[in-house]
Amino acid sequence: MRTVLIGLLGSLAGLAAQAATLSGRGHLEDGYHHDTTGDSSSGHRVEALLESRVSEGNWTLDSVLLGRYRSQYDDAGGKLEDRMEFDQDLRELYLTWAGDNWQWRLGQQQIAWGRGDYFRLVDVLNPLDLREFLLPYIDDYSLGRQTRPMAVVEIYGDSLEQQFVVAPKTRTTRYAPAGADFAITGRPEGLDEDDEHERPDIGWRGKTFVDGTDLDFYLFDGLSPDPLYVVEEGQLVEQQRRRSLVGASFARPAGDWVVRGDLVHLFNEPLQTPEGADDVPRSAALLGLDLTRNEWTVNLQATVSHRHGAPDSLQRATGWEASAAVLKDWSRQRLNAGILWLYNRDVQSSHMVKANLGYRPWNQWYLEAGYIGFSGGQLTQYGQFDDRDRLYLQVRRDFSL
Amino acid sequence: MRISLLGLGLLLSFPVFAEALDPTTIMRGVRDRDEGQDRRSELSLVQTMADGFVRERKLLMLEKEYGEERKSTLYFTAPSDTAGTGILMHSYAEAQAREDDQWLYLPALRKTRRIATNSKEGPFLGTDFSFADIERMRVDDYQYKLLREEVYQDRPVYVIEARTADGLENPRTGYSQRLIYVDRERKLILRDEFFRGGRQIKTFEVLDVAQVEGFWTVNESRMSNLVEGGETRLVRSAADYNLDLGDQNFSERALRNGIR
Repeated sequence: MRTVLIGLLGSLAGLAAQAATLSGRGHLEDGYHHDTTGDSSSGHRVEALLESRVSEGNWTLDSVLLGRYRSQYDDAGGKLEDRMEFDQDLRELYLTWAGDNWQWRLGQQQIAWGRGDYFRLVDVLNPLDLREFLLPYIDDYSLGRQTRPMAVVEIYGDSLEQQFVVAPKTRTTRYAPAGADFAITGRPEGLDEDDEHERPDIGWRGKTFVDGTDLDFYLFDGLSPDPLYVVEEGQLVEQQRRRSLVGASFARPAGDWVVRGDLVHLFNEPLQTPEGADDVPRSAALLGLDLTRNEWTVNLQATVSHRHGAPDSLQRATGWEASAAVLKDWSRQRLNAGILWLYNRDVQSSHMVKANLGYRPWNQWYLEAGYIGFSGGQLTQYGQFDDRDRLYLQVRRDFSL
Repeated sequence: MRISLLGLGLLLSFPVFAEALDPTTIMRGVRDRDEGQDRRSELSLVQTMADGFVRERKLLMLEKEYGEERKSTLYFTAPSDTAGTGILMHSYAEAQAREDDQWLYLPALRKTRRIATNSKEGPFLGTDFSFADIERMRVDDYQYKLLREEVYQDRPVYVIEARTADGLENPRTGYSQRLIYVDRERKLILRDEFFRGGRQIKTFEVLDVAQVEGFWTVNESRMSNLVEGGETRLVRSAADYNLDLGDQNFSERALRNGIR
């Protein structure tokens, strides 16, 4: 990875030396939250993001640097620290070379597959960073995904666009350490990793447009980002297993609405079971509806997933998820209010609700206040954070370079 | 006797006059006027709200003709909270009676979203222009009546009234009636008054026109909002025609990569 970064930095210097065009932008954000349940604790986070693009001819170098100064974080060893500390992350650094009918990108990057929001049926290439349960980035998923080194080749035909992806280095979902606000209930920590991963992740996407409908098809083979916990030689170890999937997406207008969907079948999804671990086929489908009318935006989604031949020890083979989001703008998009509801039902139901009010008092300034609440049983996706309901306030200043 | 001769003259000339000045033909001429095979524009949207708040957005726009179809790419370059956002539009021949296809790229999601185009009366990025105002004109949305010829801003113009067939709002544009001032020689709309339910709600005015590379080009226009107050000026700081733009500039790839 270091070699790639050094090479790309060298490319940056080379491009800059050739009187390339340079553009940059970013934001500074200061956020404060106060938990309304549990210990009534509070937290503070300052964030700075800087994006840059250097272009020369058919070459482009993109980078995204994120720095945070926050009250709760985990260090490199996954240990909780409860004091204000600074950390930074060169999230993206990739070089693009584009021809008339092809393009390749090389470097640390992210790729978003699928038509779903919040629910990632086919968005499998970049694991999530769940240290804060995506709360700061639920409206900006590009910061919620963990980026990784990838080589991407895209070929543009008359009726079919193809994307080939190779990602040599695996990454796992990043969880909050024990004791943190959003630590996952019952997740073992500090285990040895059993990771003999000889093959890179590989993916293919084909994209076409038929009679007003966007159609995408996906193939993927790679490691699941969610580790399993298995006993080997009398010891509990953390293990990543491979999974393969075939998927498809579509989107098309229908009157005032846009109808969209994802469909996926995993041939062998790694699954934690009461007995240990298993590989179980699973199918899932998502249907979404979007409406934008005057100053209203409505977004509805429902997903269903079914595990085929799941072991009897699993209480339920079929799971449901749903979301509803409504956004209203006033005063020419200076004032807005939104509400988001997320629902999950595996064995039991759980919910998350976010309500917010935003205002732009001046150009490039944005103030937002809101409430986030969780409900459900202690072992459910959202209910495990039932004591983390919170009020928040944040101010953001965007800038250009 | 002189009155009778004048009346006879008008009577004789009327069929020719009516054919030459068919308002629907005039509007088709506006829609189909020569704007080159493709073009690139640098634009600013300067919005002044009723309370004096000013917001400016800058964008690049590429357009290319494909026979009677047109593809356009809009790419926002400023301010920073909008920069990177892109819109791709495919407009089909009016005879196909097919709605445009539109896609919106949101850099925060790294995703391109499909947009419904059935209704275009909503504001374009919160400005006083609607999506219908910026799309390629659809002549068949209205029935036309030539009201008069006059001089407007030192230019000879046709003043044409446009009404929906049933007198109600056009469900796609949100307008029931328009009063359009068309430059007779340049085939440009110099002024457009928009009505809903018999009430004028917006006024479009061209403020600056120049010939660029042989093509008449609107360099500055203004849409005034008569209901909420405020206005949005559309300023074209650069225009280039017939650049032989490649098809890759009119694809989702262009939205992600940006255009220059």
